[in-house]
Amino acid sequence: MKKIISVFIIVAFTTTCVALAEKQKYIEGEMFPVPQSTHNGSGYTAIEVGLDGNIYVGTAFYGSSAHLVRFNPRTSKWEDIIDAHKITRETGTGLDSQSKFHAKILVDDDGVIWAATKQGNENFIDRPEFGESSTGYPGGHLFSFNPRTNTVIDHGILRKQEGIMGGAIDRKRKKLYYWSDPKQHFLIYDIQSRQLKDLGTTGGSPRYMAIDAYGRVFGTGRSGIIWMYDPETDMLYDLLVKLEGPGQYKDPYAMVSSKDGKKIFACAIGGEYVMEFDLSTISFSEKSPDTDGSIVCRHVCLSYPEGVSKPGDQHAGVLGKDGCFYFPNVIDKSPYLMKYDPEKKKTECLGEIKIKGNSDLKPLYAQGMCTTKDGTIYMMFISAGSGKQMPFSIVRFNKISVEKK
Amino acid sequence: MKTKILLFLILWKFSSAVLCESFTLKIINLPFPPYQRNVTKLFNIGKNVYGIIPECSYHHGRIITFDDNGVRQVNNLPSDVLVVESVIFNPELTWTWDKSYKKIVVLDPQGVLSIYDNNGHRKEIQTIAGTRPFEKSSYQVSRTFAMGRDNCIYTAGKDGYIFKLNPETMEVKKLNVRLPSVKGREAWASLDAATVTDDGTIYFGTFDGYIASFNPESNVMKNLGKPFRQQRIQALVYFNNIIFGIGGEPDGLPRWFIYDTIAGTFEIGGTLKNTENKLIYEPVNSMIYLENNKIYGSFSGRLGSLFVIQYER
Repeated sequence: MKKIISVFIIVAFTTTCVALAEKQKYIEGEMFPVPQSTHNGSGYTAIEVGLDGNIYVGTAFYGSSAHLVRFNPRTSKWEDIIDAHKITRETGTGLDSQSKFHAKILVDDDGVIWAATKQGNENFIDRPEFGESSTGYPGGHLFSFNPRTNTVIDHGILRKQEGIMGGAIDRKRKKLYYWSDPKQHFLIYDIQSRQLKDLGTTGGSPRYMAIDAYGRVFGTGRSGIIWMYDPETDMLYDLLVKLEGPGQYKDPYAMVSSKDGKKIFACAIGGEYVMEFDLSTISFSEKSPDTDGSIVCRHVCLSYPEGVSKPGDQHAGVLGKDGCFYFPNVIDKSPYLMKYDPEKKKTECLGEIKIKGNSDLKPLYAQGMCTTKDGTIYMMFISAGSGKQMPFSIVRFNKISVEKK
Repeated sequence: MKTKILLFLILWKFSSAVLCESFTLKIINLPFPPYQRNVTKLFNIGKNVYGIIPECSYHHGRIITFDDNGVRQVNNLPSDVLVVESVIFNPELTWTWDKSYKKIVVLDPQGVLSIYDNNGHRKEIQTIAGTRPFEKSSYQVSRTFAMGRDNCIYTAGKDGYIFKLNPETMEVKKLNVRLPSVKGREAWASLDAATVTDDGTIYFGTFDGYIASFNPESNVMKNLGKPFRQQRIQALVYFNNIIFGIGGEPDGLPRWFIYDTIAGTFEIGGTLKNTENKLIYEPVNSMIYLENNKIYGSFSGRLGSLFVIQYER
């Protein structure tokens, strides 16, 4: 009996040590604070690398004017590209200001950067003037910036009194895709004709949109539904999610298209699993009473580090150059950088995120991510932290997702 | 003096009772296939409720029927009902059947009133709508007809004047009575919605957001005011001595209100939420009241669903 107890204690001790070792593994990134004059502490999904190798970041300036800024990794210098109120000549304050570049920043083949604004401090339930007062929020603007000519163009308000969110680009068809907040209308902007098409409400508010090899666009719709826009039919479809694997389905938050464009990788806030949406399973024969078809979602593996007992906050995600899905998972106020390898169908915790040379800073929430050509990943962290307050910054992880030869 | 105070207290008590007698609404969405969404018109033939769903071409569409057991698609309306597909599936047209369902009265986007006879032949009657100032090619066209108890059909034309059409004789009369409007907005005075009470009074909702009652016998129009500080009345239904309405601009939020036809008071209900407590953003296309304190309606838009409003007083 004593032997059994001893073995049990040893096993338990070893397991705890392994778990702690896993938990205490760190990954360090270099921090580059966003210029203070361009924000009041946060930014969202608006981060992307341009063809010029610079990192374009959209800021949030609640109650005032959001900015599009550019970070040059070679000189580590920032430039202010767009001051939303200056360009639009709007003077709205509080809820009526162009206070966020929230939508994903999109980069066209010609290097032109596309960015869009929305309102801040949303209060859609009680706010009476929504859609009804000319003095309310005018609506989010779409901007383009050409780095070669240093020219900014304001393409106007896409939908009256609504903000612009989401964001995907079809470079072949020269189309930009967004949705309007709060009415969730799917918006298609034709870059060449500068025409806007509104396909009506999607029923969901996805922060991320994914676009596949056929130019089909996906996002979260009503609960348990993924919507799909097919450019061939110019139609929006609602697909009922059929779950394969353990656990319960949670509507995904961050989603990215796989390297071959045949799958979508996703994670959900508080979700336990990395999700794989298999685009080859889209079927229009199997549907519920109020959907057009169905799609299979597989819970492929746990989304949080081993040894941690609960899932955390997963607000962002990006595809690495190695084809893996990278996302932060904040558990007990500690952000872990997770990597999902679709070939191995496994997640790996790359470590708790720490700031190089600033070990007392504790980053917390990453809202947006992007990957450069050499596999470097940038994450955008808001000003927060359980220890010493971290400034709103981008954090660089050098060449962590290098393309496999 | 004492009598006056007593009278004041009685009146105060009575008005408080009216004001406090509020409604609670329960809005239940009826899930149905996506290709059957965005019902543009609801109507009843006898006890059956039908809905019209136009398709892109406006010459085709689907007809559904529904009850407490669910929604079903039907191939046809009853055989004695005149169907002109290019009319009933065209959301650009304002149309209605006459009392016998053998004629269809139509108002087109150019404001031309016409009638289809039981063989489906169209006869143009006259232009009744007018244009707006500085918009010479854009007609302000009423979006609804009201079927009076006298079996005549009423709508509004240029500068808000009421037109009365007798479908039997095809006679049209321009009445010397107008929809309410503020000075200078007469050209925008058109009908958005209408409903008829048991005593034959017609209640109109106008483009500018006014509610008015109209007595077809005396030709008296009474401006009841605007329930909201905005334009548009999306739909009206009458039951149990109340007018239940939904109003608001299409790109704003729909809001409900009740007009008590006996007390002559409005109750403003606010925005609409579904059973999941989610705000309803899209305007209402059509509403109909049948019985059992249930209002059937249809929201517009891609996910525009049918709904049932159950109310309790």
